[in-house]
Amino acid sequence: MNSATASFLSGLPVRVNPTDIERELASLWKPASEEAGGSDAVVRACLANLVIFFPGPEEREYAARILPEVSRRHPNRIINLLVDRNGLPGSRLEPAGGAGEARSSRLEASVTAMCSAPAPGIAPVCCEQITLRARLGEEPLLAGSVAPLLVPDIPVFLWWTGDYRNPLLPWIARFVDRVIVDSRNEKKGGVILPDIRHLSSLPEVKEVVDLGWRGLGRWRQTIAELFDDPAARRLIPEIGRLEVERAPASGGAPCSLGQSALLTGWIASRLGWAFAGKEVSGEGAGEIRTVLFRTRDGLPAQASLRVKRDFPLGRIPSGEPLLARLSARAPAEEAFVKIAIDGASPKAAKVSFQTPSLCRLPGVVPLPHFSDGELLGEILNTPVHPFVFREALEIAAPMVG
Amino acid sequence: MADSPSPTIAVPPPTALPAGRPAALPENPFAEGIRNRRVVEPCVIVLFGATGDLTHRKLLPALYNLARDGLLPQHVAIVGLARREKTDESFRQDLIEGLKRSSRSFSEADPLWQRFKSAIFYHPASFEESLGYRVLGERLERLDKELGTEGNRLFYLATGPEYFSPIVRLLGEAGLARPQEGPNSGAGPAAPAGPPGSRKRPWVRVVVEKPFGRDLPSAIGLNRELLAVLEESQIYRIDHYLGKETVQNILAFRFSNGIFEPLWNHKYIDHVQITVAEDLGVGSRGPYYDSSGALRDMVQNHMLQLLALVAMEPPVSMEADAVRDEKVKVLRALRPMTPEEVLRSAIRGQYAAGSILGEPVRAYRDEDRVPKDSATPTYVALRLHIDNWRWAGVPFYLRHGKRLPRRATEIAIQFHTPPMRLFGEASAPAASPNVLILNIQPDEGISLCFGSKVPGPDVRIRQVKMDFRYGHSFGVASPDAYERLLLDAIAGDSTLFTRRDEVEYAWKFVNPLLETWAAEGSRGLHFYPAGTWGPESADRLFEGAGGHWRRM
Ligand SMILES: NC(=O)c1ccc[n+]([C@@H]2O[C@H](COP(=O)([O-])OP(=O)(O)OC[C@H]3O[C@@H](n4cnc5c(N)ncnc54)[C@H](OP(=O)(O)O)[C@@H]3O)[C@@H](O)[C@H]2O)c1
Repeated sequence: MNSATASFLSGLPVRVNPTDIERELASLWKPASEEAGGSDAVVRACLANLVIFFPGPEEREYAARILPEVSRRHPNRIINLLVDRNGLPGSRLEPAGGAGEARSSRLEASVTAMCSAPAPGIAPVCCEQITLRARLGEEPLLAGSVAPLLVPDIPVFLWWTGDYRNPLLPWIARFVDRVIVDSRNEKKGGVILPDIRHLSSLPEVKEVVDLGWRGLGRWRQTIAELFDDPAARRLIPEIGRLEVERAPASGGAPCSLGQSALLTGWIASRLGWAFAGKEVSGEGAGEIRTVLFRTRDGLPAQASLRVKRDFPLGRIPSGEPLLARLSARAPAEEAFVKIAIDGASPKAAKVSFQTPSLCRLPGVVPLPHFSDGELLGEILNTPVHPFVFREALEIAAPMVG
Repeated sequence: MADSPSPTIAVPPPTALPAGRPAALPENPFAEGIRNRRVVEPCVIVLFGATGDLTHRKLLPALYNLARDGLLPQHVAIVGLARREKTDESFRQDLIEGLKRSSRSFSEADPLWQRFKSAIFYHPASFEESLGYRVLGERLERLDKELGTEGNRLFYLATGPEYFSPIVRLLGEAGLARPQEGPNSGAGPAAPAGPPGSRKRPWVRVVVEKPFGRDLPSAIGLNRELLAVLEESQIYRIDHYLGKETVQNILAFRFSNGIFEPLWNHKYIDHVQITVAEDLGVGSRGPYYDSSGALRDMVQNHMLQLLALVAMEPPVSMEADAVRDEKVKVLRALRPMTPEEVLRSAIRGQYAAGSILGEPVRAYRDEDRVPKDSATPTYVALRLHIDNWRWAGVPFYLRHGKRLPRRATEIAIQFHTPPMRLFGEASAPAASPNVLILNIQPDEGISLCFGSKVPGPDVRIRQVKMDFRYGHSFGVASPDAYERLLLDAIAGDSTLFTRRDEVEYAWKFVNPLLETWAAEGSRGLHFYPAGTWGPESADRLFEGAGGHWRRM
């Protein structure tokens, strides 16, 4: 195995000619495949193309932390698109042996392998990462570089870690099956759901999938299971009030509303409620958002969203739901279905259910927290039901906008 | 899973719901778009044989993993039953070793274990005494009230087969085998009656371990005895092979890909080989194994199930009976073997001393508590035929043995060779046909062998292999078969359990082999050195048809 292949397999970036990436990749893989059967043999696997756009180094670092886990669960060809605010620091990259005389190009390219050992004694499974860097202002060049690099016949995902109104996004999205967004990521202005809704309405975007939504999977499943109980289903036409609480951020800072709003939007859309307005009182962590709805029968209904300020910090990522309580309207208002996490055991939720005529004993269901790597791996691995998400989003976006 | 028991609960006084409420029960609107949804109702799981190996090594770890993944019902209790005197607490303590060994991510300090163990109980009783069942019944009713388990029962018979029938009979006599008559709102006395539709009749299901009978008459007898007390829909006969992901994947592979099914018949397939090879011997199970042997232990159940999945027609749906109907048709179409046919188309062997991976291995007859003159086969090879339109003239070769060179289970579909040798003599080695291999274990995957031109000016064709490995593409470990099967039984899905007729048709096919070999004794028993691929006489099965056992 030559030294370029050895660096490539060990995870070091190897600089390649941006106009000849496939050939250079082939020459880097070849010595590894020639070793097949020998002690250095590796398996090259690829289930999908994962294109990732990074507006800056912070997002890049975040992705670098979670990608090894994603690749272990779901090996992909990863195509990183990077915008370099400080010029192109090509000198940091290793030139590929013999292939390094990069022709002058305004983009810079490097490749590296990501390998993981499925089990002791089994050859490592590797996939490749291609990184394209553009100078700030020259990002449009990235758009034209993606299509030729996609492995044919397998799905293409675009994980967009930047602004969802970036004009580059629809350009790249036309080659893509699903755009991955994150409704939890609100540090830039706090109103990300309307942007996600805008994105999902673009003709170039086939489907939007959301890490925050996927993170609500266990909540949705638990609520659905509660309503498998015929007695709970009888309550559905009577439900008129919803309370959702979320985990606080440190220092009393406001925390992402994305997941609470989506959970509320999902419950409301499943119940056939239509958004009718909102009122906001209080500020920061003390904010209470009251959302008004009309039910299918034209009756008023409402939801209130707030931060649970007395919840111990750090036991659950800020912004994640802690409570969902669906209650009946008068005169049966003591009937409710409730799922709540308490600070003592944050990996489980207490579920309770009571109607005027019957009371189920409270139960506990595990509500494990999934890492972002696990959520992303799930998104890559499983089909989605886009209309359920879209309907939830339609209601959630005006709630926060 | 239940929280710590809270026997009484304050219930608000009944309030009338507004008039005009629709009478029909609304659909569950939240269910839409939820993946892998199965309705699991509250229940008590009673494990008969709770101090045994299966409970400790497989069942409890599987239940714990299900609880960890949030797949068990919210209200569940586990009651272990065996003779040994134990308290709830000492039983819980005894389970820890097995959980540490077998459950992914078990830790005693985990709050999950603290909650899980609070729903585990022990009930000392003998399988054969009716008093114990009455006391059990009372205890289960108390648990219903304390934990909200709603009268639903899953009885798991992790016991020796001699107890299957007595336990079910005594369950019946104690009134535990049939769902209680009348409604059950599930919350015990604290709960006043709910509106119609909020009540359901509880269910009772019985999971029966293997072996299900030791020949056709005993299987028919056992079925008769179970069905005297239970409905067929209450009986879940375990074949843990069906719980394996890769076995289920046979159906996914066949029926979710358009390209294979058109080729899946006698026009394109030359023959099928199914191999279940084990490198282990009988270990400490000598007496049990000696009374059973390779045919009963592996072929009648697991291998015939693999055969049925490979050979069945597409079912009309994936519902339990639709799938099982098609499997039964395959088993019914197996060409019965006359005693002469048994001698021609079946080979049995027994391992002699040898070595595996450099370690000397003793002969079967020298294993602990195995008779020195035992004629029990540890190896079986069969050639059989399925007499239906699809498989006319296609032989199926089955082989299974202990102390073979390595552990491997695979199904190999060998296609016909091309009708003419276009590449002449140069392609001679490539006359080796296409083979599609479904690897079941240990290295789960699918491979296709095909001919390819060797680069160069001359025409040389050689076989190459295209490999797909689950482990390479899906970096997530498959759950243990018992997790899937327990969850299915709790959810009332019997697709992966064998139905009465399935078991009986499988025994019907195997019975002439058992009878002929019993009559022959040691005559015709072939010995093979441990660490080899079985007796050479097994190659005889390919005579006339061409082909050979695959080198694995
Ligand atoms: N072990 C496995 O890996 C495995 C795999 C597949 C299938 N199976 C099947 O599963 C079943 C159980 O196997 P196992 O290995 O767990 O057996 P085991 O270790 O011998 O356990 C038998 C259990 O039955 C109890 N028992 C026996 N006679 C009893 C009686 N008269 N009254 C009350 N309890 C009695 C024993 O408890 P006390 O001694 O405390 O009474 C013990 O808990 C068998 O049918 C076997 O074929 C086992």
